[in-house]
Amino acid sequence: MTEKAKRSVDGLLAGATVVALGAGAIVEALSYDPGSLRQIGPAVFPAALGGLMIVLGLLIFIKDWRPVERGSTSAVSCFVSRKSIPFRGLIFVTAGVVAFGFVLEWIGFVPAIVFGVFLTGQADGELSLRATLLLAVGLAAVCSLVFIMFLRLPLQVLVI
Amino acid sequence: MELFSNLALGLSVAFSFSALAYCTLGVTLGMAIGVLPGIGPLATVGMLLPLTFYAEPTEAIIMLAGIYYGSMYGGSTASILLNLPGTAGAAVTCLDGYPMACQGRAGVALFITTIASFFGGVVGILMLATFAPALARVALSFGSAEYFSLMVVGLMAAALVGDGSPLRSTTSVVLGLLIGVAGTDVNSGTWRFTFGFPALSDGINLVVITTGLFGIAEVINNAGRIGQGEVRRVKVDWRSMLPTRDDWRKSILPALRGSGIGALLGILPGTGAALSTFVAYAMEKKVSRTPERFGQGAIEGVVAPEAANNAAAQAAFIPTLSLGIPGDAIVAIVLGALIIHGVVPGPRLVVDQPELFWGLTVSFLIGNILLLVLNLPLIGLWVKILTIPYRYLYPAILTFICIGVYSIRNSVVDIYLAGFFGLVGFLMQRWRFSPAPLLLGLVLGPLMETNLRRTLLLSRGDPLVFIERPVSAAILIVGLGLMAIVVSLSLRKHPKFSSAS
Repeated sequence: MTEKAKRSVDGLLAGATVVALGAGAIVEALSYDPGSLRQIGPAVFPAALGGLMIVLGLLIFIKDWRPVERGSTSAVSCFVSRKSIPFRGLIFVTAGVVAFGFVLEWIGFVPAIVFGVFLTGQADGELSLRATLLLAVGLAAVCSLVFIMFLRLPLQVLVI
Repeated sequence: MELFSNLALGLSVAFSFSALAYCTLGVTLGMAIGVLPGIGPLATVGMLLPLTFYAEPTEAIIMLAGIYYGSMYGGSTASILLNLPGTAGAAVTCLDGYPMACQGRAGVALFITTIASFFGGVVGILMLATFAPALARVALSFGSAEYFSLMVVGLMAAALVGDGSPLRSTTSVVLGLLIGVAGTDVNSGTWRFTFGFPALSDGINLVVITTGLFGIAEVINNAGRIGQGEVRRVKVDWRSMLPTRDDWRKSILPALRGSGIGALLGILPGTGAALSTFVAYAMEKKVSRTPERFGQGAIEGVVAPEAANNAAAQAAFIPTLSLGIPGDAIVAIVLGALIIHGVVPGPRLVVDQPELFWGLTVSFLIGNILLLVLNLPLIGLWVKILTIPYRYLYPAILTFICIGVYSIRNSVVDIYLAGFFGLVGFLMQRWRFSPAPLLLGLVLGPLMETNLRRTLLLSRGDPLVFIERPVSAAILIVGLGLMAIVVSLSLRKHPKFSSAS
């Protein structure tokens, strides 16, 4: 990284995304009934918000177009240091959550926990196989006890 | 005396067995998750919201609120012993708390932060008992135009005064408002932003968004990155914890100033406890005759922020319970919980449901006393919790989130949605959008639209009504003034609280 002033790519991308979201909201809202000024329809509020998003997105874009000096940090960024993208976390946490839902419907509650723990556990590179297994079994036991026996949530241990 | 009869009512509600049980559960849980870095009160409150669906509204709120202010007590423990804040509101406490621990005064720091937290909490509760009913009485005359204006200004305050860039926080608020639109429109029955999916016709549940944006996003960012820290050994005998007479003397004024700052910022909509700690610390450093001691283990530097964040946490309930405008993001979830329970937020709440308001106020006091009593004798337990490695915790957190989200309406779609919002939350943090203001927009969005429609219907379609009604106009002028101040400050490149770094 150079110490020179640098244009923030993230900032420009963020601005563009906000504009796109606003435009999308307006396009979608146009398909609803606008109503009249006296009795406004379901289209008005989201369309107005969409317009506001476009303005805000453009302002963010303009503001971040100007390169910022490194080291000029706000109160928040002093404490939240910028780190590299956590690919492991992104992939395995998301995969684990999706797998939990999928397996829950497909096979049942206990397998869902086991699958979920095995996938999300991969987000931390140092969790051993034995620890993962213990964690999965322990969590499955505790959750079955608390959520099914005690709170009586309509969850099925095994669907078959 | 009206106050005494109200207090008697509050006592009778708060001292019922179930209320006491929910209060104890809430504060203990809050304390524990406050101690643990990597899981915050926002995610926890969101995760446990489904469990309260079956409870009475008062008890549900007692527990959710207990998690919030309990976490304020716990947050400082990790700051002092690990130099890693347990919650965002305890980040500042690291600055002087950790140096104190390095000097072998960890016990004193833990003791004095507990006392300061209790002091700040009580100040906040007294403000709540005094100002909320008074404010509600004023607001009783408000019509839909005033409400709409109040919500606009409340959201503006949330976006402009919070931590982070005002421009980006405003965007968060508007995004929250847009997400709040999703679902079936109550007036026309139109499905909005559902993109043809029947699963979205009820809108996206608050729990799904909170656990995704905060819980799952937090885990994505922290998994594999929070190692097991070196916990400072603390002697947990009373002798090493008791502050000296000099410590007490130095702490009195900072506790008072911190509580004042916390209570004032807590009342402002959207400005959470975290901001109040920055301001309180900067203030102490400024008024101190020996500012060079700050950062080297100055006791004022832990007392003022801890008093401030607890006062702010309690004061945040003032606008929430009296006006229906949430004081910060966590209280926005509490407000959402009230709405789910069928309680209409607004000034009528204090008048029509005094048992809820006064029961809650008295339970806050009980909760604070419980925390004061539980915290210090159990310090050994909290330190032990702190040594649990994050890699064993986060799979459990994710499992609880998934089960909690699923239990709302037994739909796996909600689990997928929570995962999606986890990615959204990650992206927002990456792009420096503070996700907390989004929650305020989400909760207030439907109320805003309803009031806008009602106002225009009553005024026969005349939009000028918002500036013709004097109270509504006055509220909007306050909002404009706020915006003018913030814009002029940011144009002058004001170095925000740079002294706190």
